[in-house]
Amino acid sequence: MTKADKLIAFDHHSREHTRTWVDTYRHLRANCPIAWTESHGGYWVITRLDDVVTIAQDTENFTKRKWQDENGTWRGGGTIPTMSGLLIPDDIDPPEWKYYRHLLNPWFTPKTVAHTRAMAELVASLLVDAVIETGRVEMIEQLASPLPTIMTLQMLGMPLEDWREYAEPSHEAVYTVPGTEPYKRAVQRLQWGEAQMGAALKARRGNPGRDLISFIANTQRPEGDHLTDIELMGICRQILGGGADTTTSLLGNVFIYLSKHPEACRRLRDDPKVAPFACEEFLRFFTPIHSSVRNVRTPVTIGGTRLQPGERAFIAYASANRDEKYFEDADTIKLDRFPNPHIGFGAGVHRCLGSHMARLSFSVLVNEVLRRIPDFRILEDQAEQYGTTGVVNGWVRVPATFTPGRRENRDPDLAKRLRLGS
Amino acid sequence: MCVLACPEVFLVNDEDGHAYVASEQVEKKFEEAFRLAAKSCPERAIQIVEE
Repeated sequence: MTKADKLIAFDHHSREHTRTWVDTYRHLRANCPIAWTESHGGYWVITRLDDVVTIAQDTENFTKRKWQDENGTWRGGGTIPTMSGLLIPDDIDPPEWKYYRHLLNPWFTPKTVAHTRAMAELVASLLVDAVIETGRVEMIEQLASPLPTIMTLQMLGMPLEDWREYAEPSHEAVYTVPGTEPYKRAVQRLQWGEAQMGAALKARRGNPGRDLISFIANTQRPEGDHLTDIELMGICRQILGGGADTTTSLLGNVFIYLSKHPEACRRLRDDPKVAPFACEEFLRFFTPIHSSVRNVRTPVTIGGTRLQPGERAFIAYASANRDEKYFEDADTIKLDRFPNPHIGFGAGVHRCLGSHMARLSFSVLVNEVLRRIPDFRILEDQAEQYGTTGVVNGWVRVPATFTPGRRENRDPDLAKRLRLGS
Repeated sequence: MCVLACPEVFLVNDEDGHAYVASEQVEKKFEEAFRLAAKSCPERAIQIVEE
């Protein structure tokens, strides 16, 4: 079988893809699970869970390494087209990957993350306070975007009041296509935050606080060297990017779903035991990180097809998460689905570092919304999906109305600092 | 996911956040939960060896 036999019309950045991905992926899984498209310079489209996991776990034959060519253009990495800016550890292969990942893992364990729950609950309460008397909320800008971003800034040790300056361009950078003008503008805006983090990295070396930026700024390798500026910024960029947009996308989708399914809201409120299973099911069904990419390093056979060095493989997590072989009624949300071997957090060495933080922010905000504005209704004709959802499946705007309620005023000073007053 | 399925057998390492088995021998009463845990692992990392 050659590429010509497996040729399909497919572009994960197209508007059509946003409308048709469920059917397209179902068709590919059944008929052409290793397909080839000529879009964006050509890439393999891998849609079955078995093949996606095999590739994600295979760091011998596949690489994620990202680099700049002689013209300064970014190559390789985990997106098509390649996004600018190095992410560490995401754009690093083993064995170097291991050093960074082990450095960061202790900051993201379930136990470490659990200590931040009280803060997440406080921020969620303040966010709802800011809208509760009006009966109207834009669920992305006022709830789903600020909470994960504020929690990420808290961990990094950056001023929480600047959250908008980090959150907005982080979203813009994922819902625009690399190479286009809107994307370039978003990347420019992101540089403000990078400059702030760069200054903090410098100021805290030798003068550490208890935050993650202080920790990495003062980390020394076994040989005694500090991490380089490029390494430090790669880590900051990774943590900000990973924290600021992904959970937001999941929340946007889930709020829309819950608004249409009052029985699901009731079940989540009345049966707290179902919540952790529901969270996994939402991750499976909506797959906020819809896909990733691996680049072929050595000739390798996947699902009977030979892949050649230099070719790129688009691994469709969203498709894998609907694979009929693993998920009965895969196109239906079952809140208590189990077992649920979804790969909403990816697989292999690059599996999501912040998964426990994502679960925490997600569950705190859903609980807060169900508790305080339980009758919220999405204004569907005003909701706007990302212009491209092939990489991050999220929403630009999700407005809703509800019966007004009362503020809790748990921390007026923090509310003022975060500029949440209405 | 395995911890969710069978917390009696799988624990989480506080240093790196990875799950591990507390004991390689699984008690009979946890057998079914353990099988579900194996089925729920997206990394296919859990192998069952029958004795």
